[in-house]
Amino acid sequence: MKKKKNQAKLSVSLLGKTNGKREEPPLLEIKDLSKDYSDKPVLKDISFTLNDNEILGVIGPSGAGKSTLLRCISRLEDSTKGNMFFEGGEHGANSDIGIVFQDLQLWPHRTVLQNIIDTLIHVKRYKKEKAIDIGKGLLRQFDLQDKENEYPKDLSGGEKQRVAIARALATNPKLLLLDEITSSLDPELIHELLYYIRSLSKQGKSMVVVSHHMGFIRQLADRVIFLENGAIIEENNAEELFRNPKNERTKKFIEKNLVGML
Amino acid sequence: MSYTWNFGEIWKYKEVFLEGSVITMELTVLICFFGTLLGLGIALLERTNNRWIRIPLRLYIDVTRAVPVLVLLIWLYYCIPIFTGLGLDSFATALIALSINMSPFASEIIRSAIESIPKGQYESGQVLGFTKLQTMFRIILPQAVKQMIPNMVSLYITMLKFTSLASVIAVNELLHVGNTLISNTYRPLEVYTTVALVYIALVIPLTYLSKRLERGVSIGKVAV
Repeated sequence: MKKKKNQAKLSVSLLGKTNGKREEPPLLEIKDLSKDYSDKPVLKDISFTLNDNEILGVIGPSGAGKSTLLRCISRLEDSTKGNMFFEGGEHGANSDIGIVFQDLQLWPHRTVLQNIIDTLIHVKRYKKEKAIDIGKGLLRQFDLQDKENEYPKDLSGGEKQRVAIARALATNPKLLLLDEITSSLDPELIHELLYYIRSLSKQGKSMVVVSHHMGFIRQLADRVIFLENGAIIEENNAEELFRNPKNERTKKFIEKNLVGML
Repeated sequence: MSYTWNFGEIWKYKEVFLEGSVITMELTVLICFFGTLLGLGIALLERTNNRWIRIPLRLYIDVTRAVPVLVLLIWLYYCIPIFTGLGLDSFATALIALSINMSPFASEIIRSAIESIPKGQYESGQVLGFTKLQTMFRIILPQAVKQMIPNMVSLYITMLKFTSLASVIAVNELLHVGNTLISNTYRPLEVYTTVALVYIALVIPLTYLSKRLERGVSIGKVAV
C-alpha cells in the first residue's frame, strides 16, 4: 500500500517535470532591500529567501537593523529601495503576515479572548460564534483556556507572550514574524516558549525570528542570518553558522554572546 | 447695621428653585454632550495632514478660545437671527454658545489623551489589518477615554457653573430664576445665598466623582 503511494507521488512529480511545470516560488523573497532614516542607511541591499515551513533566525548586535527588517517585511515601514515578493507575487495581504512585537502591544482594555478574536470579527468579518471557536482553539493550543476572560495586566510575562502569538495567528497567516520575544523572559520561560513555537513549526508555519538569545535561535532556526550595520555579513544553516562561522565578525559576535546559549 | 435674614420667604418658592435647577442640569448635560462631540471631531481632524482642514480648524480654535464666553453668548443671541433669519430661543442659543466655547478645551483634553497611547498600539491594529478609523475607535479611543475622564469631569463642572451666564439672555436656569424671584420677594441676599447653595449641592458630588475616577484610573493604569 505504502509502496503504491510512493509510486503515485513519484509519478506526480515526474509528471510535473515533464510538463515543464515551474518550481514553487519561495514564500518570501527579498531583493536588494534598503532602508534609510533621514539619509542614514539602516538596511543595505538585503537579499534572502524564505521557503515554506522554514524558520529563519536573524541575529546581530543592537542597532544592526534587525527590527527594521521585520518592520519592512510587515509593511509598517516602507523600504527606500528593493523588492519584496510574497509567494512569487506582489507583497501579499496583511492577513498573510503576522507579527509579534518586542513589547507585545496587547490591548489592555480587551480580555484575552477579545484580543484574539477582534481581528476576526472586525477585519475578517467572521460571525462572532465562528471567531470565538477559532479563538478558543488558539487558547487551548497555547494552554490559556482558563485565561480567556482575564485582562492582559493580570497575566504573567509568559502568558502575555503566548496571547500575543495567538493574536498574531488568529487570521492564520502564512508567515509569522517574531521580534525579540524572548527579551523579557527568564530562561525557564524561554524553554516554554520554544516548545510552543516548535509546535507551530510542526504545523508548517514559516517564521522569521529576531532574538538576542543565541540558544533560542540555534534551537529553533533552520537558517540564520547575521546582520551588522544594516548588512548581511553571513548566512548559513543554523548548526553550521553557530559551530563554524566563516566570517570573523560573526565568530566574534557568537563568542561574545555565548552566555545566551541554552 | 444689622440685617434680618428671612429664608422662610424663600422656602415658599422651593418649586421654582427646583425647576431652575432642572433647567440648569438639562442645559449642562446637553452642552457637555455637544461640546465633547465637537471636541472629539476637532481632536480627530487635527490629526490630518490636509491643510485645507487644518487651517480653518486652527482659526476656529483660536477664535473660540479668544472670545469671552459671555460675549459669544450675547453676540450669538443678537446676531444669529440677523444672519440666518432664524429665531432661536434663548435656551438653544445658550446651548450653541457654551458648546462652542467648550469644544476647544474638550479637544485639548481628548488630543493629549490620544497622544498618551503608545505608538505600538496603532501599529498593532495596522499590522492586523484594521483601518485607521477602526484602530482609532476600537483600540486607541477606548484606552484614551480612561485617561481623559478626570480632566473631562473637571471641564463638565466648569460648564455647569458657566450655565449661570445664560441668565443674561433670560434662560430660565437657576440664576435667572433667582433674579426673577428678587422682584417678588425683595430678598436679594437670601435669594443669591440660596442660588449659591444649590450650585454647591450640584457641584460637590461631581467633584468627588471626578476625584474617585482619577484614583480609579491611576490604580487601573498598568503597562502592558
